[in-house]
Amino acid sequence: MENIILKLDKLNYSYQDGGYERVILKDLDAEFERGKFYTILGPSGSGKTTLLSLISGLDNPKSGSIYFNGKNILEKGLHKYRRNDISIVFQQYNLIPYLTGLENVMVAMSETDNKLPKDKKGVAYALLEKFGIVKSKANRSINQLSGGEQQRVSIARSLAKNVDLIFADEPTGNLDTATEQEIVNIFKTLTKDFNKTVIVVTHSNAVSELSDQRLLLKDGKLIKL
Amino acid sequence: MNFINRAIKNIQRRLSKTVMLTLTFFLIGNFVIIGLGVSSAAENAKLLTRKKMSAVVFYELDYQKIALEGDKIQDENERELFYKKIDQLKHTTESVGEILKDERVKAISSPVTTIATTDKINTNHIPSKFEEELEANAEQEVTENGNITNIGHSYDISIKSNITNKLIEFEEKGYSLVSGRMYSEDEIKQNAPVALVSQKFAEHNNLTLGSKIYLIPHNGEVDYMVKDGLEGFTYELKERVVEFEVIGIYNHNLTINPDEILQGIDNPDNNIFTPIGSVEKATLEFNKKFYEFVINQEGIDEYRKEYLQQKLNSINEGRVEDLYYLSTLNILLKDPLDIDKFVEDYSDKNTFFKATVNNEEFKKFSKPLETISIFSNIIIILVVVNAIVIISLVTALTLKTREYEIGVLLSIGSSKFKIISQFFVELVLVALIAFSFATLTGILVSKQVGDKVLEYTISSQKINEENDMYYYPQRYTPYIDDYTTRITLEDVTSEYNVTVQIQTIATLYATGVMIVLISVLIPSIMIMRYNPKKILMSTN
Repeated sequence: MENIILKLDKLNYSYQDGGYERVILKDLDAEFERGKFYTILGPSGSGKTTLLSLISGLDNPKSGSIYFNGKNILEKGLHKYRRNDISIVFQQYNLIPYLTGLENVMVAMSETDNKLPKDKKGVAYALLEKFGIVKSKANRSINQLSGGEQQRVSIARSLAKNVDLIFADEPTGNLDTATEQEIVNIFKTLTKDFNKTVIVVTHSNAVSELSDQRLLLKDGKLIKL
Repeated sequence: MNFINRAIKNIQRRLSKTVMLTLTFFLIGNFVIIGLGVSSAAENAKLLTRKKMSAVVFYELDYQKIALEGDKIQDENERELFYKKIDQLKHTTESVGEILKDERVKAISSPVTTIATTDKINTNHIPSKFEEELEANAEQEVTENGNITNIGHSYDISIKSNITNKLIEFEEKGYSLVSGRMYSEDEIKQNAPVALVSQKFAEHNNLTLGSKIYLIPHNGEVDYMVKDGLEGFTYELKERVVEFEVIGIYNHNLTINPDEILQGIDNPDNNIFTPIGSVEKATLEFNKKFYEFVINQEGIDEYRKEYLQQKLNSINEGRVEDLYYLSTLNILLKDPLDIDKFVEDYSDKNTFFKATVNNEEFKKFSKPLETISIFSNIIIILVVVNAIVIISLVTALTLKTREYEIGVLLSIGSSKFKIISQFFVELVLVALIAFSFATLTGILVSKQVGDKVLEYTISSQKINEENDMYYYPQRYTPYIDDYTTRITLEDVTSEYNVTVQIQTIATLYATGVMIVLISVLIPSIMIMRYNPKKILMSTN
């Protein structure tokens, strides 16, 4: 039980669509263990992104609870949860356009209450270098980086806050196959070497095949594959 | 990389937006600094002119109010009673004492002026050039035993009796004590025969502190009886001489042109300051003795005898209670800026007295400045309102392009307050830079603009005045009292000096911060409504 980092308890989510109530998640239960790499699969419109937005504290479920390390995230506060407990990697990388790669990583460091080393700049450089972004590239505007490099910066940023749970929404959706492989390897490294939990929402079988646990979102429920 | 650093990076790296905003703020800054410079110059000039004029308020009976109240009373007897009560209304030592307790009051002068002549034996006035030449005192005769037998028509002394000892003359009008002291409050209450004389008067009469001066106060009734009323009868006026002890010698800085002094009372050096009531008390005592003397004379007609007996009875029965009647006070305030509030406070009191200011000249000459000040303030308000609208719109529009950034910041745990703060810092920094440049150009431009505006305003007012003078020739001839300094248009305009003061720059920066604060308000409301999920999911 102590190894469970995230627990979903009877999650329900629906919305009004042209006078009809469209049910996305229905009494969804799930548990995610520390240090594992999960992928969530499902056809378009199955509610993968909705599920990700709920477990990353960007939205509230209609009913049900989400527990992080045994604590209800609503009681903790979604803002605090996002600030100190999780990181999100997006398909579009979501980096701040007028900042450099290094600065994007450092923004995340300034937006957490977690204890971080004093030499934040040094840590940011080291993180970027670990994911293949050398110093000269780290100081470039992100517009001067390739898609793969931007996603690496995005992953470095997700690690910069020193959180245990990382979510990713189609992180390789815009990347070529070779880069996709590199990114998946990074996620696997994060789980194995840093004991982080990575939950990735994806369409890609190539990505899911390399995860520790594949989950299918179907009819509002998660099914282990 | 906190929000301040992010704001600085945004300014540095989004140059086109920064330049556009800087130019906007630069233009706003120039308008505001010119407006503020001109407005403060106009206000300063008004203030300095007002200071030149001295802060004198008149506290006097409001006859218009009295008439209106009187008209309301239908019953004739009651109305008569009302007016009798009004007749009793006057300023007393007690009421004046209360006004003096007001912290805003510096001095009060309310001279009851009694013209008099010197006895010509012990005391002599400083004669005018014309008196010396024409021997204007020829009518006055002195008998062999030293008594005065007649009184000349030329009165040479002006006795200024005051109800207070804090006099405007000594506080502000250039009078100062050379030796001795001012009369005390007790001496005012006791109508003590003490006096302050000018240094020249003292030298002319070899007076020192403690010396006596001998004056004959003017009394038309007595003069008439002595001169014409008692045929073949000469009353020796020795008893009529009033004695004053010199307790103070003063000097003044008034410029005296000997050619303008026709008789003694025109010369300020012949002014004598005494407590109120002292001259009147002495005159009353003389009148009593004089009436007794005349009544006991042989051959006096019955009608006159009866008339004088009535007057004597009034004095003996204590019915002549009021030695003086004081309906107007000239109140000098410490700070000219307190005038309006003081007038308002004292006009609000539920009495038949009103407070007024001799403002006509000031109003007339400060009109161009008033116009400039209003015009400048309107410009400032319009510029500020437009600036708020423009900056709000610019910020709101750029917000749309920065939704994605806001979503990212919210998703990584930044608070909405920090995001709003970042927007605020971005605008404030740009505004401060732009306003610094605007200060430099504003200093150069505001003087030229200010001078042109004044020139134009004065010339247009002159045209209006000329038109007014044609229709209302008496309109611009205001009455000026002894306590209000005369001013000219040049006095007012010479004080008008458009400069950019530290306060102006501080106000400019404060205005900038205020514009930014209000401009960020609308975008802030939009940010507060942002849902990070919607932003991020739509961009993904």
